[in-house]
Amino acid sequence: MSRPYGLWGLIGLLGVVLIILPHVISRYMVFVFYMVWLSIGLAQSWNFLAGYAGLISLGHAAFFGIGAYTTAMVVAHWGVPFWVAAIGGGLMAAAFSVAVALPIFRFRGIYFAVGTLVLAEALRIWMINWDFTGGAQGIHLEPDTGTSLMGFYYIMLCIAAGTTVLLIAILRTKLGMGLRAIGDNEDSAQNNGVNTFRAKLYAFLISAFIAGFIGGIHATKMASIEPYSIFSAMWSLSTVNTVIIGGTGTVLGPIVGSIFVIFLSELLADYHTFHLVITGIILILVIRLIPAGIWGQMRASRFAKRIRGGVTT
Amino acid sequence: MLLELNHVSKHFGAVAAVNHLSLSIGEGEVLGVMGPNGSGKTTLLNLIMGVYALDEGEIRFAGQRISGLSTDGISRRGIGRTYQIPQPFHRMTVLENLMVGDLYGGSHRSLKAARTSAVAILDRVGLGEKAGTEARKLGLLDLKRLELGRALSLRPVLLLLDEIAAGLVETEVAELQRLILALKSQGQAMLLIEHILSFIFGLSDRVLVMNFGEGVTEGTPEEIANHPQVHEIYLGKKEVHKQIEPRTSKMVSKAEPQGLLSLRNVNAGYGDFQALFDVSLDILEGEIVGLIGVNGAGKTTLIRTVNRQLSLMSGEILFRGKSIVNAQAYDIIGLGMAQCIEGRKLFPELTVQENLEIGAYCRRARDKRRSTMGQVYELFPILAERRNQIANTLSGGEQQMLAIGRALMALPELIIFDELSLGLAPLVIDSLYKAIREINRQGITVLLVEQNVHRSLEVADRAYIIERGRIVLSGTAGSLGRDEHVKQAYFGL
Repeated sequence: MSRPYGLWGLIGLLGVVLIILPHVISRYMVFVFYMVWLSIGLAQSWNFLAGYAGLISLGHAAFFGIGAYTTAMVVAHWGVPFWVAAIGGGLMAAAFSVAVALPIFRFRGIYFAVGTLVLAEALRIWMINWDFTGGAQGIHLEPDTGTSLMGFYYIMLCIAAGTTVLLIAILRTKLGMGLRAIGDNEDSAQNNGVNTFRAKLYAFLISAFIAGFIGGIHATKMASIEPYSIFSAMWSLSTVNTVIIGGTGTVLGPIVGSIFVIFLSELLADYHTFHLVITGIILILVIRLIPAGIWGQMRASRFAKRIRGGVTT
Repeated sequence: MLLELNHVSKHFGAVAAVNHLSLSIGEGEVLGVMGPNGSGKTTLLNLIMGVYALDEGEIRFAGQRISGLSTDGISRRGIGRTYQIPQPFHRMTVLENLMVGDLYGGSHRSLKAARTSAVAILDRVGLGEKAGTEARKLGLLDLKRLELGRALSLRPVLLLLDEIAAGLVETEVAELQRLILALKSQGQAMLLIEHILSFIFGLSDRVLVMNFGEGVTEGTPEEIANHPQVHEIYLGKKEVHKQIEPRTSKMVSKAEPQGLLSLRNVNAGYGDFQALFDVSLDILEGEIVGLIGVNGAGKTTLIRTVNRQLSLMSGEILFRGKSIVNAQAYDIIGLGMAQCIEGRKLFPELTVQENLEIGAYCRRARDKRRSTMGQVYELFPILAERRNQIANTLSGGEQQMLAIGRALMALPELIIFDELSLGLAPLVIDSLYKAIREINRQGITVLLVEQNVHRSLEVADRAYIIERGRIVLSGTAGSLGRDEHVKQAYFGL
């Protein structure tokens, strides 16, 4: 797939801007952008699972939370550098996904969605009551003074870019084609030789690993985590929100969606509950009027004439 | 022997969908499989592909046992399958659709190599121009080509084609036939399920006829086309059924029978795909009119058009002289037209009595509910016995009686029966037809849609024969019963 050189130049310019950015904006805005990068990372991991493979999970918070807790505990007990611990967090989340895959893959479509939601909520309630992980109090880490907010900004930026690149890469593999086939028609995929259980399992654990890793990084930044917020369904739902509004099944959709959703919430920051209502209404409007999402809609109209075989973004 | 089925059986509850069936396909051979609706053909494919587990028997492919393997495993061994209603990967492009099978069933792992293979298949199936089109944007013939292409991308040793020509018009069928003939000349072994008899006879080396899940007979196309037992299965037995009294000439009390339902030049279909072409027919008050045709001829489409579930492309539908084109589907019963849909569609978790009560939901019938129910119980005493039984625990025949009873509860002037005899034993069908006679005697007009020619002609006053969406023949039951044209219209010979 060839891109005009101009596009690479644009990306390069954007990269430069984003690198300089935290030095010229307020500390608060650095945090906002940090959340945007976090959202993109989570969104891409969910997009991969749901937008392409058709596994609409409403339990992404489970992976995020497991990664957060594992990382926090590893750092607290063994003093391992946080990014190493975060890998452990990702692995633990991936292990969890494999463990639940067998029962949860019996469900399809809407039942799968509800099943994952229930799973995540059950996990949250468990974590609130489990003393081994600190119960309702959670875990407090010594704030990692080695890394500033700006440092976390750059780390999350790399993660956001990394997950996007990873998504593009996987889509160009045999697994990527298989997952897209499953997302479109699982029975036909089986008739075309795809071992659907195995393919879905890979998608599930890759998605879980990424979400867990991001959870781990976030836990380190927060330095203090507790189950009510880190396992909150809001992580799942806002991820779903972001991807749907931005454009499911596209690479740029989650990016557009993250920027839109987070800046919207900033705009309405003074009206806290009102902001949730507005987001809900926008979600409904998108689903009814532009189901392809903001970016999905833009892409369909602009590139309608440039039909090409092969992977499109 | 490429594919061997040995005494294969599959039961769904009490119904034997496939019953001790044996067949074999050799290399490069094309086996046609035909049989009336409900004879087990699609179940057969599902058993081969491992969608269902066998209850008895075994299936061998290239000498190895495949019964018990997963669907994807079986497809990887080289069996490609197409669906009756195309099931593409709808968001992916045509080219991408063809790449999946190559990646997972073929030898390629890289997308690049798969793409090259896919391009080759594109040309074989005639989709060369459409490589980059999203599958969901394709028309029906192209979807069928894609369906074939996807099966070919597995490099299959055997192709299973499930009614691939269904829904296409004559020119498109010819096009598809050419395509499959080309595959055949390249040595592709195939199992071809079809209702369009010219299609299946034109392509098959041998034909297997199924009925009630069993293999009835097998032979060359010529042998099968002239086989009396095959004629019997499709057209019904010519002898008069003892339980039904011969039809006496109709004595009409009114001066002139009123036109109850009329269709005038009706064209209808599903989106791009037209299913009815210029259909006109009349049903007079007090008549029993038969609508006869093979599967896929358009009978059910016609019914759905009449009850306004399907919109018209053009034409007129009149009930009692008034146009009902703009009526909503849920108003039809209030107007006086009830129906027994194919497959009965009872409310499975409700009791017999409750199903009947819902039948009288519309205003015209609600007040007379009690007395009407009494009449239904008189007509079908077994329903009275089972009035508190849950509907889906009834036998097939009893369920059909309940469906008829429910239709009667609406106090209709016209009842439409769609494929009444589907999946039922002959004796049960006899009693149902007796009931229809009785219903008509009480003044209700009947439109009887059937595959079985002789049964419907025994009970009907007049009949229409529909083929590929067009009315090709009509007349009194007596004249049609003697007509060689009927056989011709059916077997297309």
